[in-house]
Parts: sequence; structure tokens; C-alpha cells
Amino acid sequence: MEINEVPRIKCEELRQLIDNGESVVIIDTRKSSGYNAEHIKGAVNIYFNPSGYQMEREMMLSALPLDTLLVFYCDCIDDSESALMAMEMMNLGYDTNNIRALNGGFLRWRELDYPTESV
Amino acid sequence: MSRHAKILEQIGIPTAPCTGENVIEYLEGWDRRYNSGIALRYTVFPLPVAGVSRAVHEVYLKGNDPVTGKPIMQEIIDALTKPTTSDEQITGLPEESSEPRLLAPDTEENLQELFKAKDWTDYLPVVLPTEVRVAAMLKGTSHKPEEVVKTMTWPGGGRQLTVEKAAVCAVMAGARPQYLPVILALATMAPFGNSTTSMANMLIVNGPIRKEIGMNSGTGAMSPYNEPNAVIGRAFTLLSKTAGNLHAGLTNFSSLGNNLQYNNCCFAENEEGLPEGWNPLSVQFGYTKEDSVITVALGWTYISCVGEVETEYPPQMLISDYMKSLSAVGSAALLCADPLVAGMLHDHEGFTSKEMLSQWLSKNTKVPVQTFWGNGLTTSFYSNLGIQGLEPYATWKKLPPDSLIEPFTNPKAINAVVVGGQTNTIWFITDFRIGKGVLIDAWR
Repeated sequence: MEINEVPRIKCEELRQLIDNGESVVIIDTRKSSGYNAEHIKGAVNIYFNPSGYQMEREMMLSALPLDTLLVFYCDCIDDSESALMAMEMMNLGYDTNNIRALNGGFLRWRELDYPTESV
Repeated sequence: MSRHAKILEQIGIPTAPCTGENVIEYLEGWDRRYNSGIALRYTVFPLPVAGVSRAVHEVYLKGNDPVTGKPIMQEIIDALTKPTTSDEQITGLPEESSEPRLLAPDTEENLQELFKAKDWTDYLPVVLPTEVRVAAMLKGTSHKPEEVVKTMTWPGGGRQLTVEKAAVCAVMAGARPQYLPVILALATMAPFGNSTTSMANMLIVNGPIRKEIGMNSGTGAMSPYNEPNAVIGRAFTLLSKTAGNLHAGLTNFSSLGNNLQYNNCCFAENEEGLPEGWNPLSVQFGYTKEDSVITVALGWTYISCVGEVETEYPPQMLISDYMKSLSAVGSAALLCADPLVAGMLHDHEGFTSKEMLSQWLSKNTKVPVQTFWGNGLTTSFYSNLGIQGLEPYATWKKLPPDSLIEPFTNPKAINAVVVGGQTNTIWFITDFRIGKGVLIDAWR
């Protein structure tokens, strides 16, 4: 699978799911400094460190629930880091139907002035 | 720590990172050169830091940096307040340097000693990778020698691991050309576990290549009784140490190390011994039975059942009991079961698939929550996620210490592999985590 083939979800769709009270876990893949400054409300932070140890990162990713929609976001132009992390989830055996990269990522979310919070 | 300090420094906030004296050379040398690219002013504390009382820490704070001899508190203040020196103003990562492709000719004895002096071996004799031997090894793949298998960025740097370099390691390990596709697939996952803990790996091969190259999945499969099992596992070690540039005290700080890293517990799954409905590991992760796949598992520990299964106490019960000794980091557990045990679980206990067994173990293995949080790795991985609100960790953070929880929350991280020669009803339970394996056929 290529990065551009990772299933996406639009910010508007994610907002709708949240507003409807649907079960969804949002994962901020940016550095903790970015997450601490501002992140999508309710998101948790698992940093996609491209020079880090992949197998160690997968230990953290395994903390994510199996039966819930997981939405990954970054602030890259092409959602590349969130898409890569989404692909790692698939390699861990998670159901592709439960994994999405956020189309446009955090930049688009802010552009729409959707709810954020900081630490 | 250096990553966080670097972020703060880059936005103009001075930092005073502190470290133990055992890693200062790494931090000021390798880490600066390959990871942070900036000079950080480390204050060094005597060892041990972990596992000693606050009173000892207070003594350290009032004492001197064992490297510079200066008072620690003054050094911290200086780090935060003094202007940068000319050396500290040099930033950025340098070009990657590498060893020459060919060494000067020398005697076998001298070259064996050179390889040891360079820390390019596992300290068992290696087969010297002459041009002739490497060329012969490269006949084991259709891929070009200069093709980059992986750019290795851990721990730091950007070293290009080529097909030729992997072939060099294959020669050194004692491999035959027909093993090379397995070793190349393995190279995509190098280096092996590298941590101050005793992180290690387990290598499991599935598919037709097991028979093609004569791997052992039967009697003694996890012991030194088979050539491909032995040398493919060893090749991973040599790949990790050479191309991965892992050297104790410089880029590797595993306090005790792990004996598994000599061979990385390399074996083939006994697919012929799988009960009906139990799929090979590779098939569970989306490959077909016709695909040849190597899976690299990551973990620390394995525990043997020791003796044969007693029918009065079903095997899944004892497996669950022994799982309570595992950390549950990543919910990970890997059962290595003889076909006889798999057969009992299937025929007598009703586990008609591996997944069904995983679900049962996930639901029925319970420990006090304090046991789960009592592990530093678990705490560092999941405590923050719990604080951020991720369930079940958020709830577990608030529970009384003796509350029972099911720490293996993710049954997909509980796997089973069937291996062994049916001489006894033996199993191991391990904390090794399985991900999707690598397709060996792509490296033929």
C-alpha cells in the first residue's frame, strides 16, 4: 500500500462523528511540543518519529483499541506522517476499516475553526 | 531527553540536560553528531541514579560532576546562563562516513582479529567476506548489489544497507546463497532490539522456503541443531552490529544484554503440525500459504512450561498463569507451542482457531493494576496516554492498587506459533510482539 492509498476521512466527517457521540480515538502524530501547544480536542499524542525505533513505537500503537475508529493526523502537506502511522497499524493487524488518516490534517482542522485544546 | 532539549533550544529556551556518566560519550559524540546536531550542555551525575533513594540524589546534587569535577548545581546554572562558545555554535548533521568497501589484504588470523577490533563480529569466528565469497553469495538473489535494502536511521545517522552489504553479513554468518533472500528480507527489519533494557528479537519463517532451504520446525527447532536456523539468526546479529553500527557503550546501552541476540531465536513454524483451522502466522497477517515470509518479533522474555501438560489442569490455564509474569507492554504475548499442545488446545479445549485462544487469554489473564504500572516501560509507554484520556489506561490510573485488570487488552497482540517435534507437550509463553512479516519472495 502507498501513502496515498491509505483511507482518509475529511475534517467535516470527523467533526460530525464527534458531534454525534460516535466512538473514535484521534491520534496526534506530531511532536509533543506541537501537541501541547494545541491539538484537536480529545486527541492523544503518539509522535511519529521517523528516525525513532519502529518496533518500539509499535509497542505504543498497540495500546490503541481494536474495535474503535482510529483517526491519525499530522500537519504535513500530504498527510504523509499520519498515513505512515496508519499503515503501521494495518501491519500490526488492525482492521483497515477502522483506520483513517485525516485529510488535510491539523492545518485543515484549524482552518475550519473546529474545537482544539492545549495541555 | 536530547530530543526534547533540542526542541527547547531551537525555540530559544536554554536547557540543562542531565545524564548518567555511562552515556555521556554517546551524548556528546554520537548523539550530537547524528541525532541532535546541536551541542547540549550536559551535567553528569554519578551512577547509579535509578533504584537509589532521594537522599542519594541529594548527595549527588550537592557534589561534583564526575567527568568535569565541577559542582553539579553550578554547572546547571552555567548551562542555563552562559553564552555559547564557538564550538557550541556549530550545528547540523555531517555527511555519513563509512568504512572502505575493501580492506587491505592480510592473513586470515590478522583479519579475524581486525574484525574483532572493529566489533564487527559476535566474537565467534566469522567466514571472512572475500570478494569471491560475496560474489557467490549474491547469486542467491536477482537484486543488484548496489540496491539499497534499507536506510538505517536508528540509532542516528543515515547508513545505507545495500544488497551487497547484506551479502557480506550473510557470508560472515556462514550462510549459503539460497538463504540470501531470507536474509535480505530480514535486513529490511534491521537492526535488532537496542535499548537499555534487555530487548531482543525472535525470527519466525513461514511458507515454502522453510522446506526449500531445510529449516527446522520440528525437534529442537529452537536449539542449535540446524544450519539455516542457526546462520540466518546469526546474520541478523551481524547485520545489526555492522550496518546498524551497534556497539556496546557507544550506541548500545543494554544493561544486561540478552543472550537471545546471538541467534535471535530463529526457527520455522511447524505448519504441518497446525490443527485444522489454525492458520500459519503469516496467513494471520494477510499473506497466503504459498508466500514465504519472515516475521521479526520484539520482546524480552520467555518462560517455559518446564514439564508436560497435565490434563487435570488445561494448558490454557497454566499459560494464562504464566502470562501474569509478563509485562503486557503492547498487550504482547507469543505462545510457542508444540503441535501436541496445539492439538490438545484444539481437540480437547475447543480452541478452533488461534484467534479464539487469543481472545480467551485476553479475557482471562488478570493481574492487580499495581503490577501493570509497576513496570517502568509500561508506565513510560502508557501512563501519558492514560493522562491524555485514552481508555482503559485512563481508568487504570485511577484504580486502587489491588484492583484486578485484564492487562492484555488487545487480543491481536496475543499470538501463537506452532513449533516442535512432538516428543513432549511443551510450550513457551513469551512477551514477544508480532507484526506483519516481510515477504521473502520479493528478495529472490
